[in-house]
Amino acid sequence: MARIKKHEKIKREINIHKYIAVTALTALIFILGILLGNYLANTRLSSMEKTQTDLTMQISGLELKEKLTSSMDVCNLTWSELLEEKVDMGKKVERLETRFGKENENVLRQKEIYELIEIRTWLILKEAREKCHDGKINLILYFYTNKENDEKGSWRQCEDQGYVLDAVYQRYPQNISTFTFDINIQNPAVDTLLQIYNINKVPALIVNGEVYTEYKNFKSIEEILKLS
Amino acid sequence: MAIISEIIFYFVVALSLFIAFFFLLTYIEVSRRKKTKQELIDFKEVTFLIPALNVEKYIGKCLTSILKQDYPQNKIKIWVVDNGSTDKTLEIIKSFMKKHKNIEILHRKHEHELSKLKTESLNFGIKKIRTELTACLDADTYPQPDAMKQAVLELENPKTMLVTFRLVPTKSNFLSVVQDIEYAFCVFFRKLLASIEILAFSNAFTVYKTKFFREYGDFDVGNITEDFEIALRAQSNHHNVACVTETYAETVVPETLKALQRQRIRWNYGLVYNLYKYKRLFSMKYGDLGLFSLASQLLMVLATMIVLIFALSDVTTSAINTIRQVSLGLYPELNMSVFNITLFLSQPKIILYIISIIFSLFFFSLVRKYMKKKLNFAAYLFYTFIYVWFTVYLWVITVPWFFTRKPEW
Repeated sequence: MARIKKHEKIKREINIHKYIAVTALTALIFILGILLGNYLANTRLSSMEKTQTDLTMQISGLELKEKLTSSMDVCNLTWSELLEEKVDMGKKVERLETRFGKENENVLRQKEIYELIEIRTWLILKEAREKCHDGKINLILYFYTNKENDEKGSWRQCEDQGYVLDAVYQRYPQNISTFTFDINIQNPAVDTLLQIYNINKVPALIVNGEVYTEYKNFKSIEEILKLS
Repeated sequence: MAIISEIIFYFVVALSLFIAFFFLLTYIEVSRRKKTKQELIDFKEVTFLIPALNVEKYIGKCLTSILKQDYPQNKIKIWVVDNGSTDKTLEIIKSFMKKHKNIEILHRKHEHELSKLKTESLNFGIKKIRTELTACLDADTYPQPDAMKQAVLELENPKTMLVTFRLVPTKSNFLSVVQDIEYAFCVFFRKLLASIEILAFSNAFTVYKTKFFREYGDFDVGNITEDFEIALRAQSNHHNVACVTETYAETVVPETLKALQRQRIRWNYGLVYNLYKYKRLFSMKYGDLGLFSLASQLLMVLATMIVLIFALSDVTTSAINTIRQVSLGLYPELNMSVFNITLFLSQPKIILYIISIIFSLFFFSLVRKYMKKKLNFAAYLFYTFIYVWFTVYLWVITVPWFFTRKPEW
């Protein structure tokens, strides 16, 4: 057999231009992908801010009306729209938490604004409940923690309580309005609520003014609300 | 943990994009080349070497496919190396021998355990071959009539030492249809690698210049992916491996997941084993071969394995959450209002994932065009979204084999 000659071999070379082109194209698509994702995320944040403004304006309108006329006809107000927007905003906060993480600065800020709006909505609804003797709507304030190793309570148990409240709301959407508060959000209004109801451990629930500082399962909540 | 998983995800996406663009530019480069239609004048003598052990189901069809070659039959020798078949394999071959004088059986005596190995059977035959070309063919693989002609045309290139073929699975069930997609994709990329002389791969039907064995030795005995090893050996000696896609050979593929798993563990093990054996090829000295062809294979394997582990941990976490909800007496519902398309798309990784899918669809259309072949779109979707994860899973389960024992052939 004839030996294989040297000139029959492949000449090894690296086409540096090709690698540069490939790297540039990869970087371009990669950066475009990230930019597009972030652009959509920002659009999301803007839409969130718009909802917040809408809600704030609605509530401020109601509050001003009360101040101007010294009486607010809360009994004839239609709650559904206000509540729907609040629920919608709550979901948006939840999604932002999933997307950016619970510790994200922007998320925490949005959450703080959301919690303040919640307190204002709750105050109006509370008034309606008291003045109009409308017992149909049950108001639940729910205090929780997201922090691991929080001395005020277990985040895992809080998460469970959250699942339970979601399930209760899904079963009785017409009868319940839930207002959730992260106890680690530093805000004077939330802190005042904690002081008024003397809450120092979580999960904690305030159902129509009554305080419960331990985990409640689905059945217990149904019993408290006399829904079962 | 979440940050590490994100970094790994972005690394894998960047790597996949890099590989995709490399192939895309190669495709553009290759399609610009002028194609000249060659006519075969010099029909070189070839010996078909078929290792056989209890292959009564396939051997008849295999021999027929060789006899139907559009190639002078007086230039073809068919040697079946019998490894001690106990079924009707020998009977079938003998019935062919009555009509065709170019078929022979080479009997082997099993003196020791190694003798059962396919590599030993091949080497047993190779030592006796006197023809210029050697075609190694598995008994369950059936070349099309123009296969040998195409192989010889490729081997006219003085740099080319071996020619591997496009294999098309015989379709018996959905799993084989999905493998058809996999094979089509693989061969398309292999053709591109071969066209820039950096392919290091061979398979169940490969034609060699016999002088290659005389110069660089026979098959590596005991190597479970001996075909891959020999292709690496050719490349390590700066010889080209060609890939024929103009025609094909049909091949029997695993029909059950269990059989497929067994085959892939062997391939995966063989790939890593041989890449380690030829680690010196991962060097600038070997140009694009070390820098792209081999490195990308290894990196992709590593990266996708890690992604699978992270994906599994995510799935496990959500499964645990669901179990927790059920244990609380709740029934988790899929709340569709929570699903929001803008939010979903606002995650850069989802955008990048979509870009990868667009790339995959683009290559799917290229493969269809290039192979002039109809490919089942449903099988393609299954391949892209499910089967690929299965192959990654197979990589994960191959890992323990490196620390225990070698898979059997």
